[in-house]
Amino acid sequence: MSPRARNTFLAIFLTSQIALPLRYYLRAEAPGSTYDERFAWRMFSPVRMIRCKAVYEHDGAPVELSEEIHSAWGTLLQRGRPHVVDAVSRHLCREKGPTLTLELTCRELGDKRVQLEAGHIDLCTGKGIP
Amino acid sequence: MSAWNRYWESFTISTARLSVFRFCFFLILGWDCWDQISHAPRYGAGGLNVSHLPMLDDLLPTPERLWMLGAFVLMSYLAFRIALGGATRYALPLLTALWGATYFISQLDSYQHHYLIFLVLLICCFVPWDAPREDPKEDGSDERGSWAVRLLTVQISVLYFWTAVAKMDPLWLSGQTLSTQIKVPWVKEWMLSAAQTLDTDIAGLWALAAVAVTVGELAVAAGWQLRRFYLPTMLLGLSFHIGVELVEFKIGLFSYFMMSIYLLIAPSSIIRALYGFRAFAPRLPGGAVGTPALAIALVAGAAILSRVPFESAALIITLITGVALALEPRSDAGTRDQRALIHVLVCLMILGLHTQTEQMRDYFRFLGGDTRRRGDLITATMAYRNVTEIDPTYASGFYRLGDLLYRQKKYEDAVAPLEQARVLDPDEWQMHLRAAQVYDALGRGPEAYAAASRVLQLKPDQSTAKKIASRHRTSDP
Repeated sequence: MSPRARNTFLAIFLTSQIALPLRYYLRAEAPGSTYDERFAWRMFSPVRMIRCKAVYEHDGAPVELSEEIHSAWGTLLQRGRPHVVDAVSRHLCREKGPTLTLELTCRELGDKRVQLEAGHIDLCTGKGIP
Repeated sequence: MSAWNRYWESFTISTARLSVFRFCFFLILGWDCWDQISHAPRYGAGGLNVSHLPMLDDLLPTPERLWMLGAFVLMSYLAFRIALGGATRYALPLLTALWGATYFISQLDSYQHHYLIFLVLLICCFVPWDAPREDPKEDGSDERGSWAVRLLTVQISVLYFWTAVAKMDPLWLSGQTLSTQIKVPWVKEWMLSAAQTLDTDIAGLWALAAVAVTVGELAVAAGWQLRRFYLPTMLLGLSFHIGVELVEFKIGLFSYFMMSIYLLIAPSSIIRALYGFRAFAPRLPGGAVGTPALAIALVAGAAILSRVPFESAALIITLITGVALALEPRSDAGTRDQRALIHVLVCLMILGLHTQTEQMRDYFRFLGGDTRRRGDLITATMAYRNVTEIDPTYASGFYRLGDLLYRQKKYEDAVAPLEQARVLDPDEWQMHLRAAQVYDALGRGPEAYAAASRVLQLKPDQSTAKKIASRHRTSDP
């Protein structure tokens, strides 16, 4: 490997190792935005202790998640990981159609409760539920 | 030469240290790849996936369990082969690509250390494992320059630094997080007794421990860049990772990976002693056999692997044999005889892992559990049939198989597995109940009554068993 190629590789590699964790700390302080700790080297952090409860309802009846998705996705929902919440919601919309609502409540360390979704919006159409 | 270039190019490492590190790290990696086999069924289940790069989700394929199973086994093979010195030049980039693909394809793998392993593997692709040396020494003390190993040390510093930064949080520094995360009773009791001995409050002691961990991580981050502090850095880092294992955090093989990485800064005396074993590079005595040895090894390897009950075994055996064959002309390690021997050894290691671990059983168990819950009874039945064949002592596997056959109204087929479950676990009332229901459906009164009676011995208020027992009471011999 030439010194030029090596230095390019080193620059990209080291920049990623500074930028990706830094991105975590610089992101908006919106509720739940810090629940995704991937690539930030936050081993054993307080965020890891967060437990969320996701309750989906379809036409007013609760959705039994274990019958719809693999339980491993359920574990990631319990961590409130935003991308997974979005993907599961889209998946359930595809499978079941409207009206689908989600009530997502997380409990942070120190017993602080954070409600990320209140179940007032149809996830498939984006319309409010009266 | 600029300071930048000097920094990267001045780093040297001995042949012995590289060999010992390679052996230990890749051995653990092979084990870790095997450990992931049981998780393969979750990939693609129900058609749902979220990759680690969600913006690419629409472009990336949804992973499939059979391909993931094949990839994990192949990665295990490659890692063991690299550990034994059978290949690095092409096997390592292939392993890195596979590891990266299987990790980034889905957030189902959320182990942070699996991301670290990807980075380590990427760096390892640039390590001069088998570079020709001007002054080779028998004890492996000859040094070679490697900017990649320097980068590896920097990466470890980066890891500890950010991990410490994550802990600069009131919830961590107060000790609240640590005291909640640690669930092992003996640690809690020890902390309590230490607090009493020191006449301080327990919360303060947890806070002290939390601060000590943070400061320790910062010290280790710095120590990896200061050669004269390698020994205390190693002792501090190892004690941290051993501690993590003692408090039973569920973090897979992370601690073991880190311990193997510490070989890069371990005292030379330890490295020399370990290198003395020279198990890292098996040597064949006597004359060379050459191409016939390779052909025999490939056939023997396929025969060995055929004993492992992989789903799509033919695909996996073809993959491994194909990779062994493809690597051969590009291999830079040892003679053809040595590589042939290593291929057979690695296949034996995989067979050994199958017999000594529960990964293959759990692969089918988890597949069966998930498909059963999602209503795919055919796949679930196939999976539990495999569970019972792999582990004929596992009562729950027979029960689930019998239960699935019952649900499909295959009552005659359900009898044998349920009877086996009752023999293996006679104190579990649910197994007797399902058997009673099967016999009831078949109109076999005496067996139905006997099974229902056993349920009522174990769980006297079980209503279904009461009904079956009363229906067949006259059948009581």
